[in-house]
Amino acid sequence: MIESDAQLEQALSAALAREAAPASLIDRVEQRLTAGGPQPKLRLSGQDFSQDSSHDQGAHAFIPTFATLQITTKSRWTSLFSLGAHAVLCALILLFALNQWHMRQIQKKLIATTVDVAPFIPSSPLKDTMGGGGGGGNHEILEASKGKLPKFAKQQITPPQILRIDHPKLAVEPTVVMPPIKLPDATNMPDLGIPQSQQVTLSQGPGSGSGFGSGEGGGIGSGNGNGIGPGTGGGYGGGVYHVGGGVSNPILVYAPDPEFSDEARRAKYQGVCVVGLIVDAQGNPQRVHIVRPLGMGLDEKAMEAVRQYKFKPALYKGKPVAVEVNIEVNFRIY
Amino acid sequence: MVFSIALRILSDRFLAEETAQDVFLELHAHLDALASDAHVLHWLRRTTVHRAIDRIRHRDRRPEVATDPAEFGLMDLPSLAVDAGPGDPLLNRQLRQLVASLPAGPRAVVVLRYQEDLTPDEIAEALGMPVATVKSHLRRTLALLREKLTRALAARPQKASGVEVKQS
Repeated sequence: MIESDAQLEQALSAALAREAAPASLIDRVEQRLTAGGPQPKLRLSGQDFSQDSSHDQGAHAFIPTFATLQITTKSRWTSLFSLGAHAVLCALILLFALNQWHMRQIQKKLIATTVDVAPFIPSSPLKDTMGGGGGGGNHEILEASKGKLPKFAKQQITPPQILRIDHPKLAVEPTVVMPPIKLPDATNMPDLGIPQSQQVTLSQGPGSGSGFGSGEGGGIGSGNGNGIGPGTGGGYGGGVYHVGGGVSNPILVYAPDPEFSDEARRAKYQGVCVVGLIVDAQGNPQRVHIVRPLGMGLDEKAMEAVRQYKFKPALYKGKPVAVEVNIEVNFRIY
Repeated sequence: MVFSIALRILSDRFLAEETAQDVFLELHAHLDALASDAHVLHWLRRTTVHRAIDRIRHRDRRPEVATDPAEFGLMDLPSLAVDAGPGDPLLNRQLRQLVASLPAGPRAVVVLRYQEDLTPDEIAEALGMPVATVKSHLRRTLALLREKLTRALAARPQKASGVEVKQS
């Protein structure tokens, strides 16, 4: 019978004596170990515990790392020099740019020519006022035909014309205003006309007014007026000629294009402007004026352009003469 | 030793074997860290107890049917002789059953004390308990066992040597 604690303790010690493990236990442990790989045997009672020498290192993946990037220069002087060079370059560029900013005036080229007044000097000295010439026509296509000159008179009553009315009621002899001078004449011609003309078919010429020729007025010739010749006014003589009747055309040598005025460009205004001018015996334009205006500032532009035209002068009997011509200046927006 | 400790704590042979195997495998893994035989012994004791207690907790969460009826004492207890002293096999079995009925902590303490003959200090170190706790466990467990034994002895039918004691 358990009487005391000591006895109880004794009984417990006896009861809880060690119990041996089954023999298969260690074998099973070894099996489990060997299943994981070749392992050294366990020997608990022995002294040598085989150390497991294979240390699990673990692959160290080499991850390359970069040191923090540092921007450095070799020396302070280098950076200073660089700064200075940049400053100098900037200054140069600025200077260069500033120079270009000055406005430059557009230089207009001045053309100076000597004006030859020889064509304007009367060729034959006369007592009274010298007239110009004459011209006429009938708006016909053919130039004026050959014929004899009409009578000269101080005052013209009837201009010379191709007689269409055979027997007029009041016959007045056609005359031209001319001083009594001798002119080359084709007196053997039955009708009136221009003696120098080659035209045979009766025609009064493309001029206007009555008379013969390509001019205006009731005279004979290519000029203005009721005289004979290429000039202006009655009489015969120089002055400014007109093309036709022996006077050739002045040939355009240099013709710069006229500019458009801003007004017309904005409004897209276009048209033809007729500029009248005298081409002198040197081929320079003189007395440029508007014959038929266009408007919107284009007339001035046309005159400006025509003033710079250059011609080969018109020839009359082989000599360069001044002629009055009309030039059509066409303003077109393309 | 390992198996024995596990067996006493777990009261289940199969679980004890498993625990022992686990402990040995763990030992193999930790062979580098162990310096001497004494160290190994110490380490084994501690690890076994811990693993065994872990298994108890694990088992208690999922209660299982006892596999070893004999150990758990489902069989009827053979009557203890009155004059059974220490070392009596029946007494041993009784004691073992009683110990198995103890909670995990005191049980481990008792096993380590009476099976491995460790001092309370060693027990405290092995289990990670304060020494005072270990001593208190021991004292209380002894008292409990004594009481249970007394009750068990009192409960058993008195075996008379042919003489019927009649209560008059």
